Amino acid sequence: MLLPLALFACSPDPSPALLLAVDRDEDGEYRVAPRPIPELTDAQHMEGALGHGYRGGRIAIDLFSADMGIRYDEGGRMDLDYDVVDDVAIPMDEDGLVLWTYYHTLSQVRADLNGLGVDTEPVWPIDFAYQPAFVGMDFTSGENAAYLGSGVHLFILLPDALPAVLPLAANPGVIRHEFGHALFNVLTAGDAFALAPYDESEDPNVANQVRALNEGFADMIATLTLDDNDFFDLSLPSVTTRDVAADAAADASMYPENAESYDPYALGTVYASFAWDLRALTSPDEAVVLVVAAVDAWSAEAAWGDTDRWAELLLELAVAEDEALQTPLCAAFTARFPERPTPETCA
Amino acid sequence: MTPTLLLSLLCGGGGVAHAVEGAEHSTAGVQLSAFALQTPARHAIVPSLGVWASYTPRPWALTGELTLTRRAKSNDYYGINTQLVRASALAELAMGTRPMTVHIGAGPALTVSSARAEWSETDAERITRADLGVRARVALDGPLGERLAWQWQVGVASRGVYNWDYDLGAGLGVQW
Repeated sequence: MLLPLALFACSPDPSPALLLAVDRDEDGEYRVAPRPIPELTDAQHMEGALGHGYRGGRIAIDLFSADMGIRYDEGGRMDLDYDVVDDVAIPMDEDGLVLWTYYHTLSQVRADLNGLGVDTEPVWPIDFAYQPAFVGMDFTSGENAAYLGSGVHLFILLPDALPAVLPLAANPGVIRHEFGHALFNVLTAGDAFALAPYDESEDPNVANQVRALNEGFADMIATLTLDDNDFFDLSLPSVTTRDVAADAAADASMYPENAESYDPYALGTVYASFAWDLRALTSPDEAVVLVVAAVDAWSAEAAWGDTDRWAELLLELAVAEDEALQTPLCAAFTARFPERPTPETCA
Repeated sequence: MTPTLLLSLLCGGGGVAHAVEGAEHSTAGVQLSAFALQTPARHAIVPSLGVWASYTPRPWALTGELTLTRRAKSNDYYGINTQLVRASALAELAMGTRPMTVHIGAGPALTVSSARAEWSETDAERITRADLGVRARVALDGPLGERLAWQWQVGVASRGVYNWDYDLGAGLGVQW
C-alpha cells in the first residue's frame, strides 16, 4: 500500500514573534515589515482570538427558508507555507503575506480603537473565508474584500484582480474599511449576528440610504485610524472619487430613489469627508471616537431613513466637547450638505 | 471514428503494426501541462514543463516523472517567486493495444519548493523545503511512426497531507 504521506519538512513555529505584513509606517509610507500579531496563535492555519480562516467553502442562500437567509458552508483548513528566519516568519507564497496582513490589520485596529475607549469586543471573533464560491450572489473577482452581515458575520477575501498593484485584500485601509462594516452592524443591530432593523424595512430606499452611511462609516474607520485620506490609491490608483480630503458635497441625486441601481459610495464619501473635516479641526483619535458616538446616538434615534441626521449628531457631539469647533464645523457642514437646513447647533 | 483508428491512419500502417506486435515498449519525452498549484488558500493555474520515461511490459508499467513549475508575483511592495520541482515514480496498470495504451498508476512523489521573498531593496530571503507525498495519474500513450511517441495525461499529486496539485498535459517523445 502506497501511503508515504510523511512530511519531510519540520512544521514551522505556529506562533512566531514577528510576521511579515503590509503596514503603514510612521513616515506615512506603506511597506512590508515584520509585525507582531499577538492574537494569531496558529499562523500556519490562520487561527486565533480574532477568528479562524477557511479556504474556499460556499456562500449560499437558503432559497426554501422563510427569510431566505444567507449561510456560509465552511471550507478547508488553511495551511500556510512559511519559515521563521531570525524570529521573523517569511511566507513562501503571496497568500501568506495577504493573510497575515489581514490579521495584523485587524489586530491593530482592535488595539487602536479599544485604546481610545471604543469597545470593539462584540465584533470578535469573526471568521473569514478566502475565495469562497458564491451561489446566487452578486460578487465578482474585482470585489476583493467584503463583510457579510445579515446574520452571517463573516469576512470574505478574494484573490487579486489587478496583478500589478497591491491586492485589495492586503490593503490595510480596505481591511479596516471592512472591519468598519462589522462595527457598524454591531452598533446598529446590537449584536454581531443580528439582522439590522433597517434591513427589514419594507422601503428599499431606507436600506439603501443606510448603506450609504454604512459605506461612509467604513471609510471613516479606515481613513481616521490610518490617518490616510485616500487609502484606495495603493490598490486602485484610477479611483479618485474616494478621497475624503476632496470637496465632495451632497446633492439630491445621491439619495436613493431607485432601489435597483443605487450607488451608496457617493453619499458615503460625503459623510466620510465631513468626518475628515472634523479630524482636520481636532485629531484622528478624537474624530474617530466622536464618529462612533454619533452612530450610536443616531442608532438610538432609529432615524434609519434620515442618515444626514448622523452628521447633525456628529456636529452636536463635537461642539458639546469643544465650543470652539462650532464655527468651523458648521461651515464644513454647510459645505458638505448645502441642501440641508441649518442644524440647531449652528443656528 | 475511434481515436485508435484515427491515430492508425495518421501514423501510417507500418509503424503501428510494428508497435502492436511488441509485448513491451518504452517511451520517454517532454511534456507541457497546465498545473493547478495549491497555494495556502486556493489553486493557482500555472504552466509546467516535465520529462517522463515509461517502461511498459503490458499489463504493467513503470513510469518516472520530473516536473518543473514556477509561480511569481511582484508589485511595488513585494515580490515572491516560487519554483517547484517534483520527482515521482509510479507503478501502473497498462491496458490496450500499442496504438493506444492506457496507464493507470500511483506512487510516491518528492516535491522540492524554493521561494524567494523580497520586500524591500535590501530585504530578501530564500526558503527551500521538501515534501513527500503521493502521485497518481491516468495517461494515454501511443506511437507516432516508428520512433516517436505521444502522451496525454491527467494527474494529481500531494505535497504532504493537505496540499494537492492537479495537472493536465500532453507530451511528445521517443519510443523503442
